[in-house]
Amino acid sequence: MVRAHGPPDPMSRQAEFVFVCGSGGLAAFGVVLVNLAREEVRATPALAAFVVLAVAFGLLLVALRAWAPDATPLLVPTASILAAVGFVTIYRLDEDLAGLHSWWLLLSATMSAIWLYAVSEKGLGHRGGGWWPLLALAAGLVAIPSLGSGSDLIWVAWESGPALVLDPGEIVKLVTVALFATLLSERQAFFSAGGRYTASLNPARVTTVWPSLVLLGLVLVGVAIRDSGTSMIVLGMFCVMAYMATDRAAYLVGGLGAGILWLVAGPWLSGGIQTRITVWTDPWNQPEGPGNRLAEGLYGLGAGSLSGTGPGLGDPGLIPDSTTSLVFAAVGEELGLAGTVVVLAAYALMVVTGFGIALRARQVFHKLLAGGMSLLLGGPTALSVAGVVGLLPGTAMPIPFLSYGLSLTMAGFVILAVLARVSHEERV
Amino acid sequence: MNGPIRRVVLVLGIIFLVLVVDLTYWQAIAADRLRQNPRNPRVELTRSGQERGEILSADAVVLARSVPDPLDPGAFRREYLYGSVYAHVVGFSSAMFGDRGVEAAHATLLRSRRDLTTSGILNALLGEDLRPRSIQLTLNHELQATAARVLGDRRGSVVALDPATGQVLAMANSPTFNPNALVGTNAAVVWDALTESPDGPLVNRAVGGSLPELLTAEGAITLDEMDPRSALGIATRVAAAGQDGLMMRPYVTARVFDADSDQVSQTDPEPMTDTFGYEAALSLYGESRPLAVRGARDRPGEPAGNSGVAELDAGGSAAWFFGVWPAARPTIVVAVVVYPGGPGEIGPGRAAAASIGRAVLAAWIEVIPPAS
Repeated sequence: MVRAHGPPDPMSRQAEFVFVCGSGGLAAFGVVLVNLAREEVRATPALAAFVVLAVAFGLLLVALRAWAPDATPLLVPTASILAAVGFVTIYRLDEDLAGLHSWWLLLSATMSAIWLYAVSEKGLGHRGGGWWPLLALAAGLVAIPSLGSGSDLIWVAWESGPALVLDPGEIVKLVTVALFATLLSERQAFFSAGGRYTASLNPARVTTVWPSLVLLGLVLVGVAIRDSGTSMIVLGMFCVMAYMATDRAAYLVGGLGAGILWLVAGPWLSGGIQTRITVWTDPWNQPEGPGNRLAEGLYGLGAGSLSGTGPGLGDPGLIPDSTTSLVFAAVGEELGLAGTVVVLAAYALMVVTGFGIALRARQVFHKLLAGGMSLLLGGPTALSVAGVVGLLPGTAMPIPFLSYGLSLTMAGFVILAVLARVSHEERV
Repeated sequence: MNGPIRRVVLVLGIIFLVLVVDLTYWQAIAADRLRQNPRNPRVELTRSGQERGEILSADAVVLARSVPDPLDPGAFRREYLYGSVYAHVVGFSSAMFGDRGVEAAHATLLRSRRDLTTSGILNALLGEDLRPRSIQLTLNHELQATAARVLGDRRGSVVALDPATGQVLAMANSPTFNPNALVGTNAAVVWDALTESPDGPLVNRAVGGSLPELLTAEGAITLDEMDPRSALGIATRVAAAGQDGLMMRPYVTARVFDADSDQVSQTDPEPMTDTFGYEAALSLYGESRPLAVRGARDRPGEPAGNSGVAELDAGGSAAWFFGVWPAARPTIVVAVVVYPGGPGEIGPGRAAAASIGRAVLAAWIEVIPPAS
C-alpha cells in the first residue's frame, strides 16, 4: 500500500490540545463576562466551564491519539470553539441548563471515544451488515414515542422531572447516513441505473437493496408522523448522497421536488407548518410572542448589530427557544454580526475539512461516509440559519455544538469521530 | 465521484455566502429599524429601566426622580414625590402605558441617551453629554399644594397664571390619580380602573373640554388646544384683560438643566393672538368686585374677582370663578371651574369656586415677599 501521507507532525496533536484548552479559556472568559454583567464575581462557574470544555474535547483528542492518530487536526479545535460559544450562550440564558449541558458534553465525548475504540480493531469496514442493528434501534426509538405520550422525544424522568431527553431524530439521521453510504457504495450500479435493469441482471443483490429501501421508507414515514422536518432532512441526505455516488442530477431534482411537495402538502399534515408559512410570508403583522419565532429572532439579531451587546448585556431571553432552535439569534444578539460570521465560518471550515477528507479518500464507502457526515453537519446548519434569517419558512432548528441538547451534542461528537476515523484510515 | 462532491461543496459554499449577506443585511442595514420597531419587546424593556432626569418645581422642590431599583440591579425606578398633586402636569412615564404630561412632552430630554445604538456609541466617543437632563417647571410648590388641597374631592380644576409671562404657577384637577401606582407593581389593575372610570381621572380638565371626549387626549402640555370654558382658558383671557389686551402663551416648562446643574435652555415668554372670548372676559374683568383674602390687607393693592355659572354642552352647568391680585395691575390670575358633583345635583354654588380661588390667592400673597 502506498503511503499517501507521512505520519503527521506530532506537534500538530499538541497544537490541538493547546487550541482545545484555549476554547476552554474562551468559555471561562465568556462566563466571567456574563457574571460581570450581573455585577457578580464568581470563580466556580468560570472554572467549571474551562474544565468541562477542556476535559470533553481533551478526552476526544486522547481517543484520537490512541485510535485514529493520523486524523486531520482541523476538526476538533474548530468544534471546541463552537461548543465554547454555545456553552456561554446557554449559561447566559439558563445557568441550570448549562450545568446539564456540561454533562451532555462529557457524556458525548465519552460516547465518541468508545465508538473510536470499537471501530479501532477492524476499521470502519465496508459491509452493510453492521448497520442493520443500528437502523432497527432507530426504528424502535421512533416507534416507542409514536405509540406513547404523543411527544416526539424520549424522556427518562427522575423525581424532579425530565432530566434525560433523547431525540430519536438525531440518531435516525446519523444511522441513515451510514446506511446510505453502505448501500450506495455496495450497489453503486443499481443506483446509477436507477434500479431498472440491475434487477434483472442480479436478482440476489436486489433483495438486499429493495428491503433496505422499504425499511428506510417506513422509518421516514414513522418519523414524518412526529417530525416531518427530520424525515425531509433524511430524504434530502439520501438524494444528495445518491448524487455524489452516481453523478445523476435526477436525484437532486427529485429531492427538490419532494421538498416543494412537502411545503405545499405540509399544511395538511400538520397545523404547525401552516403557522410557520404564514409567519414567514409576513412576520411583521403577526401576533407578538413565542409563535412569531421569525420576528423575535430577527429582533435579537438587530439588537446585536455589528459588535453585539456583549455577553450578559442583551435580552436573548426574549427570543423563544433561545437555547435550542433559535440559539443562532441569541448568539447574534450578544456577539453581533462579528460573532455570527465567526460561527458560520467555523461551520464552513468543518464542512470543507470533512468534504476534503471525502475527496482524498480512495474507497467509495469512505468517500460517501465522509461526504454524508459533512453534509449532515453543514446542511441542517445552513437550513437552520436560513430559517432564523427568514430565507426559508420555519426551518430554524438546533445546531450541533451550539445548541443545548444531549442527542444533538452526541451526534456532533459522533460526526467528528467518524470523520476523524475516515481521515485516519485513508492516510495510513 | 469527486466531480459531484466538488459541486455539492460549491453549492454549500454559495449558500453560506448568501447567509452571511443576509445576516449582514439584518444586523447592519436593518438593525436600527428592527431596534425601533414598536413591537420589539426590547423597546419597552430598555426604556423602563433607564435613568431619567429630575423634574423640579420653580422653587426647586424635586417632583420626580429616578432611584435605583432595589429589585433589579442596574435599573432605575421612577418616583413621583408628591403623587397626585402634580399628576396632570408632571404626568408619568410607564413602560406599559406610555408617557403623559411633561414626562411625555420632554421625553427625549429626560431620557438618558447612553445606549448601544450606533449613534449612541458615536456620540459617546465624540464626548457628548449623554446623561439625562433635568427640567424645572414654572409651578410654585406652595401654590400647587394649596390648590390641590383646597380643591379636595370636588370635581373641577384650578389654574394660577403669571399674566406678564404666561407662566403657569399652579394647575390642579380633581378627580386625579397617583402616578406612582402606574409605575409600581399591580400597575395594570390600577390602569384599568383609571381608564374605565366615568370620572376620567387621567384627564387634565384644566386645559379644556368636557370629560368623555378628553379621555384619550394627551393634553396638558399642548396648551394650544384650549377650550375657553376651561380654567386655563379663563385664566389666559382674564390675564390679557388685566394687561390691556396683551395675551401671553401659557407654559409650564421654565428651564432645562444638564446633569451638572448648568442651564441648557430656558423658555421665553411669547405673546399669542386669540380673540375668542376676549370681549366677554374684558367686560367680566371690568365688573370684578373686591375680594376678602387673608393677608391681603397688610399689602399694597387689593384682590378682586368675579364668578358665574356656565352652561355645558353635555348638559348641566359649571360654576366658574376668577380672582386677580393686585386688581390694578395683576401679578397673578387664579381661575377655578367646579363641575356638578353627581347625578341629581343641579349645580355647585359659585361660593365653593370662589372660596377655592381665595385660598389660592392667599397662598400666593404669603409666598411673595412684601418688597416686591
